[in-house]
Amino acid sequence: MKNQKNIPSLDRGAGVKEAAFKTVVYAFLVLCALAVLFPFYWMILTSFKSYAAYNSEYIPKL
Amino acid sequence: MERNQKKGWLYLLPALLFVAVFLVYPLIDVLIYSVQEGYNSASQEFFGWGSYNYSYVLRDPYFLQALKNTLVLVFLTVPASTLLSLLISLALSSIKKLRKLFQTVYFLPYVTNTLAVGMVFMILFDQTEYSNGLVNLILEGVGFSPVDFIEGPYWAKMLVLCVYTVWTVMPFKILVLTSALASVKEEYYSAARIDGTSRFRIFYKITLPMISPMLFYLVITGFIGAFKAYGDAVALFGVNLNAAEMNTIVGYIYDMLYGDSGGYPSYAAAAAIVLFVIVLTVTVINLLVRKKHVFNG
Repeated sequence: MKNQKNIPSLDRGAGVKEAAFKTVVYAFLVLCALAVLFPFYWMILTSFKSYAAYNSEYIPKL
Repeated sequence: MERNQKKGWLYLLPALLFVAVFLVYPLIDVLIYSVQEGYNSASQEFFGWGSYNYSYVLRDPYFLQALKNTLVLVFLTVPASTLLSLLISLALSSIKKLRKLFQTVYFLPYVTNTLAVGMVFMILFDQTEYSNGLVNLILEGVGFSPVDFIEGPYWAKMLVLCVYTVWTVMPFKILVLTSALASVKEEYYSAARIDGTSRFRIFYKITLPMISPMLFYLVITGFIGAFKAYGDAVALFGVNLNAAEMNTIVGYIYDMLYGDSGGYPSYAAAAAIVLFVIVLTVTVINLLVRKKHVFNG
């Protein structure tokens, strides 16, 4: 009986571990996907820029 | 049996003829070109036979630069891209939601043109007169000083070339590795889970041996592909690769044939044979390692 009581708590610990693992996996996949997609995004942006705008990339300041 | 063998050769004949005419004959021709000294492509005459072309090519600083660049590119990008795509395909195979979406995203670079995307990378890293380019803006934002990635120091340029090469070769590797991972039988994992095996141990003892043939296939084709790199460098640094110190061996061969300093088919042939020998050696080493370490179950 004691052992059976312990099982749910063990499972909950495993669930938290699993969730943490899933989070790390998804974060990694999203990061890699961004790295893959960014050049395409930039290609489309650049195709709409004038030469002057392409030539003078800067971070706008408030 | 005898008649069947004859039939077999007959069936093989078209493919054999094709290989002989378009693969074996050119290879022998290149070998012959490379040992003809003072060959003149206009009059098709030469002085004699010898190894002068090889000694010229192997002493040419441009060739040595190209050799160094190619070797650096190969030994940086092949392990990096293989490890990264192994990680990504392991992550892909461990999730269910959004898996198709991620697979599509990772496959996108495969269908693009190397020159078009190379230009985008060039724009991302480039410093113009009025701007430092996006990557440098980010670097400045984090607190680093800007680096001229396209016309600056050697290792900055090499870094851009390596990043771009990894970016372009990843989709194919991820595609092959995800299908290899999917083909590992579920029973092995179930058995391991019943025994309470840790995740790392499952990977090391089951997944890795089962996909090792595919992994080795990717390493071998990756080595060969990286040795033949040329278009990526052109996309990033322009046609005059010698001036940019970013030439590759294939680029050197092209320059010797058609470039501004070109018109020397003998030197080009000698360089091509040197490249062939290097690629052959590396592939043989790979195959020997494969024999020892790959699980053939």
